[in-house]
Amino acid sequence: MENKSDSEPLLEIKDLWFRFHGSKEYVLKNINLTFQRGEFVLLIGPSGCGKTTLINTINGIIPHVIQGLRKGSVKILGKDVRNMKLAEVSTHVATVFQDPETQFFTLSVIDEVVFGPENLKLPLDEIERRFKFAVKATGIEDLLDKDVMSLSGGQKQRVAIASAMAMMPDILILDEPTTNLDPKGAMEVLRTIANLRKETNALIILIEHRLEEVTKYVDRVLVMNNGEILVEGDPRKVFRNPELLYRIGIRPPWAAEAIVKLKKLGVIDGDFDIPLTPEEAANLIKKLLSDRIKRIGKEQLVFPQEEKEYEDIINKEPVIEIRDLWHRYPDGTIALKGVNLKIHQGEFVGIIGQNGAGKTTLLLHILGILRPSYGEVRVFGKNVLNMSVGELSQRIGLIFQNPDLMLFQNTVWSEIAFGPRNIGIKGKELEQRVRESLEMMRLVGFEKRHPRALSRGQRHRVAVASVLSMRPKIIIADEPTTGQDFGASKKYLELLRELNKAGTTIIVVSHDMDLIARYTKRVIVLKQGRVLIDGPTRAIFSREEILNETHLKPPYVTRIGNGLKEFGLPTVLTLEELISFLASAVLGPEITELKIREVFR
Amino acid sequence: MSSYSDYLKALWMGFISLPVILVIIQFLSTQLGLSRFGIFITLYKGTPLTINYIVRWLLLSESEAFRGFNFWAIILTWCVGWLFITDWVRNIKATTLGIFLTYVLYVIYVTLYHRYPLKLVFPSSFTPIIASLIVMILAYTYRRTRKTKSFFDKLREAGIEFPDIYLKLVEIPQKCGHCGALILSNSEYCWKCGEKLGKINV
Repeated sequence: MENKSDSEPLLEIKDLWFRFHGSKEYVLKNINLTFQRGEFVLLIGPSGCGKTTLINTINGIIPHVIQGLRKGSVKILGKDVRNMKLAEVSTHVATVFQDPETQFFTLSVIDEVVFGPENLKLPLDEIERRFKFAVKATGIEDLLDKDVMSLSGGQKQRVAIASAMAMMPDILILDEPTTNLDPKGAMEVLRTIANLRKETNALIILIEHRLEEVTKYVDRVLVMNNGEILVEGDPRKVFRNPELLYRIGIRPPWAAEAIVKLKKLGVIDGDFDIPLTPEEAANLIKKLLSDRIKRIGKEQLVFPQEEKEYEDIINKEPVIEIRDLWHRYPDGTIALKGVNLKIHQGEFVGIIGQNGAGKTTLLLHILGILRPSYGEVRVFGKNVLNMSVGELSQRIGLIFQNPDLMLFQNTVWSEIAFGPRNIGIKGKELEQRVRESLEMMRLVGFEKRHPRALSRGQRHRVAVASVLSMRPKIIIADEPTTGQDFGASKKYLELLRELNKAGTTIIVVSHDMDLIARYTKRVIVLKQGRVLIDGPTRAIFSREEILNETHLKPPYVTRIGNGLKEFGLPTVLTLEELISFLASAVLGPEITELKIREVFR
Repeated sequence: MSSYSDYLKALWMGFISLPVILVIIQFLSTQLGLSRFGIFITLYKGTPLTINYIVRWLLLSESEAFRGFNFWAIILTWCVGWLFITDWVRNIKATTLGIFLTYVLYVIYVTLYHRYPLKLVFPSSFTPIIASLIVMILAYTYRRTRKTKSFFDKLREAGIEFPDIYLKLVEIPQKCGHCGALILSNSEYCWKCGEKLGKINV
């Protein structure tokens, strides 16, 4: 019996096709995969490519809960999932989803971890053994006496993983377990997942966007697109071809992309393994270039124009003035502790910080939704508490994380006209505002369409257009890239950049450091309700030791650059900057901008 | 904007709440067995109450309204009502006007809407207005003269202390004492030299 399980694959997917009831299009197309025990597999692909549908065919949700037309087979230890009861599948497969709270059944951590084994009616000593195993594997010893609802996001997700591990599954599936977490929580969870490899022999299938953090642990990467497996194999081989991933809207690890582009430009050559982390990339560049690189000129170490731009802001009109702002919530939490800051016309500001740093509380005060416990917030010189909702909405537009929360009308036209109509604008002026917003968001032709019937990117554009029709002077975007693939995020941020160029003040709140580095000009770092540091983006990301105080890390590209400081490389914010500095240092300044642009096309 | 809403709040609450308070006082006097002590209100006599009838009591236009404790119950209603509204609206002009307008609206409601021949006697019928004004002025004066605890007093009482630097108001833009860089917030560190700003003169 043992010999049989050793020889046969743990999970075998053969000629798998699937389409939902009522749909003619197949979501999964001819999937053929084999997985062994102890493997750690990363599944990536753009939004809507079929990743979740694929894992639902493994955990039995398809066909036992969600039905459709399934062809081919999904076999766990030789037995098709279709022929097993869902309860039986759950003894083999455990799934952890994005939002840990939706998976909790009990109030205490201990109850939560033993909930699964208790439901299997296992003997007490077996439950105890599994409990000890799950707690050790996930390192949640210090959380055992706590109430699940009092835990941080990262801790909650670790408890959810422990509950899954207590089932001692043969297959553990993690579906974007870090999406809703801040950087600290995400790292906590990813470290836990990496540690599971040592503790269990289960097959781990992970869906995750933070490639830099996970690729170093995985054995195999599966790239999905449009219901098919596009590429599979060792991560160092898969990421050797970043263009392929870019084409389908996936951003490869920065480290891999940087090396491939440097090779394409002729800055480095030879045969080497593709690096997966910023540290690996910096070491490889150092090794390959140590005797070829000329020291980068000292005059390039700083960017005086950016620093001057920051200091010159004070000559512009302040649009938001926050004076000694304190906020204490009814439960006693002091979310803001004397914040004092000004944001001026035409700025593109990024606000970063861990969950609980006070970012949302600050935004809610700017929007007049929360009343300060002490201090005041002025928008265009007027206290927000003395402004009506109509008055505020003409000055500040808020774009939610999820565009669907902003769409409630039956046509795109009426969605965009809703705001102006509410402040009494009608007739030709209304028509003109809607038309302008449609044109700006490239939505002409979509006027009569139902907003919900559009793609996510288009829905996002409708949401932005509905804000633009109010002609706000300030736009606040809260976590604009959460739940979006790289391609969609980039388009959306480019749009905000265009609006900023036209004079709109933009404030972006995000955990995505690469996005903040690429688009914003000023960064405000919040830590426990205070401003930790505030300055030009490049200057902020060069202060790694100060960012560490709040467990934030500079963008990955900046970290590659920081590893090359001995060559005199300045703080770089984008891949384009890194490549052009290295290219001109190695190949000489005559390397044309055109050549560099070529490799980024 | 906020002052308009104060006027509306005072008028609307005055108009709606007084009849409700009078019915509550009637209910309490019956349920608490106050009649044993001679405190007896005769608003409710077993037949359903109409708003028109309650408003006539509030205007002291019913002869029965002056009998026994009925009169004091009506004065109490006006005083309690306007005490709460004063505390809620916190705008003396709006509350004063609210008292007069509520009275006028009640008169309009009874005479024009219900065509009831209202008899108002000076000065007894206007006692509720005078009593309400006195209570309102007392409540407002008390609120103004009472020493309120600041946000920071409350924090101290809760045992929450902060470093002095948290309580110091920094003028924006501040200048780093070390490198002279301009900083557009009260940040703890200078973006240019990385110096901790709390330690140096800002």
